[in-house]
Amino acid sequence: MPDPILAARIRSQSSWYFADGLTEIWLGIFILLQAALIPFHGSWFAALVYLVVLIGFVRIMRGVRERIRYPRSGYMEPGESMRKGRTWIVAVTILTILALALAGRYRDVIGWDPDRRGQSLPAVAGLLTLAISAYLSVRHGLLRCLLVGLFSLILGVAVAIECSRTLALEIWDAGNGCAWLCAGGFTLRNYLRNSPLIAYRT
Amino acid sequence: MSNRLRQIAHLDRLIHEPARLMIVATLYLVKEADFLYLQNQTDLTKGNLSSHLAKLEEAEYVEIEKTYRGKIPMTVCSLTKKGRASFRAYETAMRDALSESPRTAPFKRADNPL
Repeated sequence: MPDPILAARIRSQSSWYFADGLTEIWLGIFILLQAALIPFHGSWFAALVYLVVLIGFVRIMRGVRERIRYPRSGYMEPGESMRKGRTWIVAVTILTILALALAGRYRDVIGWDPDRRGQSLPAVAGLLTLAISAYLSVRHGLLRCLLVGLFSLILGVAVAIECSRTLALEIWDAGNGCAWLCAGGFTLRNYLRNSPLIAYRT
Repeated sequence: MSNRLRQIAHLDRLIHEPARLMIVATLYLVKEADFLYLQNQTDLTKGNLSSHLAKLEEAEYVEIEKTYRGKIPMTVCSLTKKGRASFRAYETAMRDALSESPRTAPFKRADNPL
């Protein structure tokens, strides 16, 4: 939308999502879970755990937001365009999880050999993380995302060179998850310190 | 003065006021928002925000519902269909008028004679 007033409103509205670091904490926990489930990759058990955690987390995060974000930054229900975007992200995540589970389950049929081609996976994932976090950093002014993205790339390249495939993936997932958790944790700490709890008085 | 610029005289004055414009522009992008969110976004005082919301509600641009989320009381505001249509009309009229304003078109030509 080209109008400066609405563009500023959109930026301001988006910053409401990242003000308290809960989004990064959620992401960090999800990546750590992925690290924990690496031994079970390609099984329906892992895919099921992902989906249960994803659905459970949406409910948990709603409760956490009600106690942390709403009394400080206020409550907002996103508009139609943002709701559609969120639905797309969740749908693509679920489909990706199912596709990866299927690919892992039937890797002999489709001829996918993770041991041969998976060595550079952490580096590629690190590059992808850097690209997404650079976008977030520019779009919403989140320097912490850029730092995590850079860390993710450096870690990805290092473990891809030094470690075996499974170990490299485990280290990258664990390191990346911890980095997001730290970024979210520090943001949450600052948010709780600097944003006073405002009672709903109108 | 062009015809388009004269449209400014016919703008919806209820929305044109800066504080109310901020409120309506904020609510236009969301389905609903509570009083605290609007206060944070617009930086208005409680009394000021409350009086502007009352005016918008009186004109049926905004719907205000007092509700509870858990045990916490909330004042949830949302734009009505009439409010959304009025804001869209205001935005279009303003954009049309300013795109023909002397500051945007002729001054650019004067700055750059080539």
